[in-house]
Formats: sequence, structure tokens, C-alpha cells
Amino acid sequence: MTKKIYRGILLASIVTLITCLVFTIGVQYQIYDESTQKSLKNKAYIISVESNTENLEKYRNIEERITLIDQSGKVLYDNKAISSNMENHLGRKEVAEALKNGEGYAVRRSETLGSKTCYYALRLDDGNVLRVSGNSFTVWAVIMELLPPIAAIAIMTFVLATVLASVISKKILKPINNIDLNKPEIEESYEELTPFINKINAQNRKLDRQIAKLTRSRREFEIISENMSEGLLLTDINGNIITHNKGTEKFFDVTENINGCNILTVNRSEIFRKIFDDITEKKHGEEVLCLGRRFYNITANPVYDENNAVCGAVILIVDITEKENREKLRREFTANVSHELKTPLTSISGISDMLMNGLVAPEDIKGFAKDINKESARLISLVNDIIKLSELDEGGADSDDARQVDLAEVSKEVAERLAPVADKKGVVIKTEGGKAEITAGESLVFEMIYNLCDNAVKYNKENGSVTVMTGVKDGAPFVSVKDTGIGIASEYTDRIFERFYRVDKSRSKESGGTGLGLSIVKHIAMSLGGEITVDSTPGVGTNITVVFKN
Amino acid sequence: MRNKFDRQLENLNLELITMGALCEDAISASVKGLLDDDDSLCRKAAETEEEINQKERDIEAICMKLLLEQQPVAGDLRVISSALKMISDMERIGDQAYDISEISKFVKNSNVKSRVHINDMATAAIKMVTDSVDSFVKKDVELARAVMDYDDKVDNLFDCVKDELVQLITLDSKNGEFCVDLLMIAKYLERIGDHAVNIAEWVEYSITGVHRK
Repeated sequence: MTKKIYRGILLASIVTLITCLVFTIGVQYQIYDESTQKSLKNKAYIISVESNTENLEKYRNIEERITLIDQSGKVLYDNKAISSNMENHLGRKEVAEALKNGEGYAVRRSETLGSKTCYYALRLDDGNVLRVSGNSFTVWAVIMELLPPIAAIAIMTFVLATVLASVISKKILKPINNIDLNKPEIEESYEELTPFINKINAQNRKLDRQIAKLTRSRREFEIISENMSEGLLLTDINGNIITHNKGTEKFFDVTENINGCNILTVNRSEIFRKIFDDITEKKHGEEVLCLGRRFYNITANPVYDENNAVCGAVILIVDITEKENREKLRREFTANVSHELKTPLTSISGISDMLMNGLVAPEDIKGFAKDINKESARLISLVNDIIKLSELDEGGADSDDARQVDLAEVSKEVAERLAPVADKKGVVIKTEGGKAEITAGESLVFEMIYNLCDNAVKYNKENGSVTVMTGVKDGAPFVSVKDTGIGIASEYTDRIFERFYRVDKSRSKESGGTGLGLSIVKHIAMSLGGEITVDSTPGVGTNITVVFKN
Repeated sequence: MRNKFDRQLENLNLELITMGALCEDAISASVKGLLDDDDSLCRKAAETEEEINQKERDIEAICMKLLLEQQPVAGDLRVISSALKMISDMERIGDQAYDISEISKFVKNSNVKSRVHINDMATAAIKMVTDSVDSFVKKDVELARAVMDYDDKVDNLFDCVKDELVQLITLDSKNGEFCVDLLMIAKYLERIGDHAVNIAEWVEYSITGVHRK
């Protein structure tokens, strides 16, 4: 822009300069021409006062040429030539005009370039014509004459114009160049620029708003994706990772940046090799991947571009180990329940079949009836336990009638209840310790302590003992059941709370348990906010403690 | 031009990773089929072997095309030539995995395999294959060297299994057939370990340009 303005100014100055010169020269030439004519006229008048041949002789040496011509056109005298040799001058324009009008003027170009001859003719009183002529410059000659000074002036002006143009153009543009595009402001004299400035300001504000919006949404996305435990990654159609979150790094067990790597270089499991076939066919892919001991659910969805063509994939990795394990437990539970229910039913069905067909001697009927009774009692207790467990699973069992319950009192009650069973095995149940109150449903607490003591009696040795201890330790009420029984090996202590789990599978029938007792204890303890610890030595005994922290 | 070449090299790399992963699948399927007496896994090993053979031909074609069209030099040439060598080792691993799955039909329901260290050997061989493929994926020379050293362990296990089988035969000649089959499986596993070492050597060569003495 500076250049353009500079050139404009320069061009304008040069055009002005040239025009000025041309007009000046033109005007000056005209004035010069007129003055030449005037001086010739003046001289003619002066000379005409004494215009006879003799008098004219004294002008022989002056610059101008003086010619005297009579009415017939014959030259009477000429101070620059011999008059007799000269032709008739009647045809000359100035002479003819003078004879007719009293005076005449003519200009004739001479052969030499740059000069011309001006003639002034005056009719004298005697009828003769006096002609004065002088050489004068033509326009070109004048210009040629004036050229050196004109050139000097032109160069000087040109230099001056150059410098000035440069300075002026810079000065004009300085405020424009100094505009801060982020916060444009301009002097009032540049009102042509105001629309631009306003527009830029508006655009800047719009941009700021949009950037803020984008930053916020990016930040939101980052917070979501970084804080989720699931792995989330975005790949292109060839499986090159575009972006991923922290969960993915944990899943792939990588620490370096894997953006830009192909997913196969990170994990080459079959699923990642096949998933992109589904994606290219615009299908949703889902698969479970087992890595070590953990299970992951991998979901891949195609990403479409504006032409509805697949351009990449979003892959979500969810750790489903817990779910998978729970499923496994549930399957085992169902299988166990069916099995446990079937065993007594088979006995009952078999015995009743024999009774029905009269295969049993009348004296044995009582014995078989006893068996049926025993098996159905077992079934009932099993079904009761399952109902109890499912109630506890539902979470709301008996929590309505929660009140202050003394663990010591409940323990005594349980000991009394179990005394006959214990006596049969020769086991003594003792209760020790003081008052320990918790807020709970009494039947739940009873159930819990009953199950613990029941187990302690069942798995005891002959002449063993069961000690129920209650009290408050570090502000937390607790109940502990200690026996002198067979004990549990440490590798099983984690599993004894599983439903239907038995350390010694062959003893289930003999001891008569359902395999659900400890599972119920655990559920109740959990619902009451208790914590169970198992301390056991095989062959010596087991101590199970439930501490109610709150 | 170089861009296209880079893309082709990247594609070759991915194909090799895929082939390596197929080898891992094949050997773990056949070993699992052997140990768990699972016929479906043996069939899977056979299918994977087919796939490996196909991959070998594909990769061969890619390498040839690269050699002809791009006339690679220096590192690129090393990568391509070692890829050509590597795939033949991978293909052998696939074949041997398939052979194991074939033999495992004959040792089905025999308690002999639980009495020898075949399980440890299989685990070691799988680890070698996985590590050699990993060393290729990560271009990790250290890991490649570790694979080469690990081969001793598989060789020792092979000797151990052999001794155990000899003892079993002397104890009870009825086990003879099972023992011979298991010896072949052990030999295959040992060969798989050797191929894994070869792969690791090619990985080292393609990175450093020097063959291990």
C-alpha cells in the first residue's frame, strides 16, 4: 500500500511538473513572439520618419534588415542586399497587406531549423512601403535553449518529489501499520477504515466466545474421559490410534504415548485383528477379551464422516471381571441349589415308592417314615435358608423393627437353644463378656449368632467347647465365637462364606448343614455394618469375630 | 514416493504382527487342546495353521513387490529381507502347532501328561513365541536377546521330559505309546522354541544389521 501511494504521489507530481513546464513555455513563447512583432513595429515607425534612400543608409549596420519598396513592388533599398538584384516584392504577404491596410505582418520559416524571419511592413505617406524584418527563434529553438535549466529544475523537483512522496506515504500509512489486530483502534481521520475495524472487533469477540466454548467442551470431554475407569480410544479406519484416555493405558499396560501407533502394535489379540473387518462393514463389534485373570468387554462402533462413509472407530474397553465372577458364582449357586434340593427329594421319592408298592415290612415302616421325616426336615431347613438369603439379598429383611439389642443377651439365648444339640455331641457352650449393644433387628442378630454357634458345635470334636464372647473394644461392640474344633486351613478361609461351599465335601451329609450358614452370617453382618475376621488353626480351633464399627 | 514406500513398509509391519499373533493363537490353542483334551481347540489350531500359510504367501507377495518396485537399500532392505526369512520360521511354528494338535488326539484321556513337565515346556515355548513377536513389534533388541537365552530353558525342559518319559516306560510298558507321542510333542515344542530364537535373531539383524555369532 505504501508503494502504491508513493507511486501515485510521484506520478501526480511529475504530471503536474511537466504540464506546468509545457504551459509556461507556451505562454512565454507567445509573449516573446508578440514582443518581437512589437519591436519590429516600433523600429519601423522610428525609421519611417526619415525614410529616403540616403537616410536609410545609416542603418546599414543594424541587426534588422530594412527594405524600402515602392508601390509597384520594386525594391528601392535594402541594407543587407543589393536592391537592384532583388525581385519584385509585390507578391509578399506583408507588402500586399501594407499597401492595402497601411501595415502588414508575416512570418516565414527560414531553411535553418530553429529560426524564422518576421516581417513588418508599413506604408509610408509617400506610398512606398518600409519593411523591417528580423530573425526570431522558433518554439523548438526556445525549448532547446531552455533545456539545461529546465532539466536541472526537473531533476531537482523529481528528487524532491521522490523524497516527499516517500515521507508522505509513510506518514499516511503509519497509523494503519500500527493497528493492533487483536484490539484494533484508529484515529478519527481514517473514517474509511472504521467499517473494517468494527468488523474485525466483532470477529474477534466472536472468535473469543467460540474459543472459550471449545475449550470448555474439550475440558469437559477430558474430565469425562480421563476420570472414567473404562478405556476409550479413537482410531482411524486402519487401526491407528488417534486419541486415548488413561483407562486405555491401564488396560494395555503401557506408559509411553501410544497416539499414532497402530492398535496391533499395542495389543495383537484376535479381537483387534478382526474388529476392523466389522467396522468397515459398518457393523458394531462386541467381544470379551481375557487378559491374564481379568475379563474385558470390548465394544467398537464405526465413526462416519459427512459422506456417511466409515472413517474410524470408537472403542470402549470395560473391565467386566467382577461381573464375570459374579455370573460364575450365580451359575455355581444355581447348580448347587438344584443338587442340594434334589438329594433329599430323591430319598423321599425312593422310600415312598417302596412304601407304596408294599415292599417294606410293616415293622420297618416306622424307620422309613423317620427317614422321610429327616429328609423333609432337611429340605425345609434348606428352603428356609435360601429364603433367608434371598431376603437378605433384597436388603430389607427385618430392618423395620430395628432397636437396641444386647449381643450378650442374644448369645445366652442362643446358647440355651443349642444346649440340647451340643449335649448330644458332648460339647459345652459358654458365654462370656459383658454388655454390647447395637441397633438392629433382634431376629437378624439371633440368626447370625445362632448360625455361628451352630457351626462351632457341628464342626467340634468330642468333649470340645464353644465360647461366645461379647463386649466393647475401642468403642466398637463385638461378638466372637471360639471353638475347639477341626479348624479351617488358611487357603479356604476366604471361601467359607460362599454359598454351598464346604471345605470337606464328604462330610456334608454327616454334619447335616446346608452349606448356607456362614453365607447368611456374612450377609447379616454386612447389612448391620459388621466386619468378620476368621482366625483358625487346623486341628486346634476357629475363632470368628464380628465387629460392629459403627 | 517415499510416502508410499513408508505406507507399504508400515503395512508389511502390521501383516507381520498379525502373522505373529496367529502363531501365538495356533500354539496356545494346540497346547490348551492337548492339556484340556479339547477337540474344538485342536480344530482351531488347524484353521489357524491354514490362515498362517495364507499370510505367509501374502507377506511374501508384499516383500517381492517392495523389492521390485522400490529397490530398497540399507535398513529398509534389511527389514524386508529379514521379514522374508521370519515368515518361514513363523510358518514352521504354525505347522508344528498343527502337528501337536494332531498328535494330542492320540494322547487324549491319558494321565501320563500330568506326570511329566510337558505343561512347563509348553508355557515356556509360548512365552518364547510371544516374546519374539513382542521384540519385533517393539523393535526391542534386548528382548530379542532374552528370547535367544531363554531357549536353554526349553532345551533343559526337553531333556527333563525325555528322562521322565524313559522312566515311565521302564515302570510300565503299557504307557509306551503315549510316551512316544508325548516325546514327539516335546520335540515339536523344542523346535518351536528354536524357531522363536530364529525370529529373534532376524529381529536383531533387521535392527542392528549384524548377525549374532
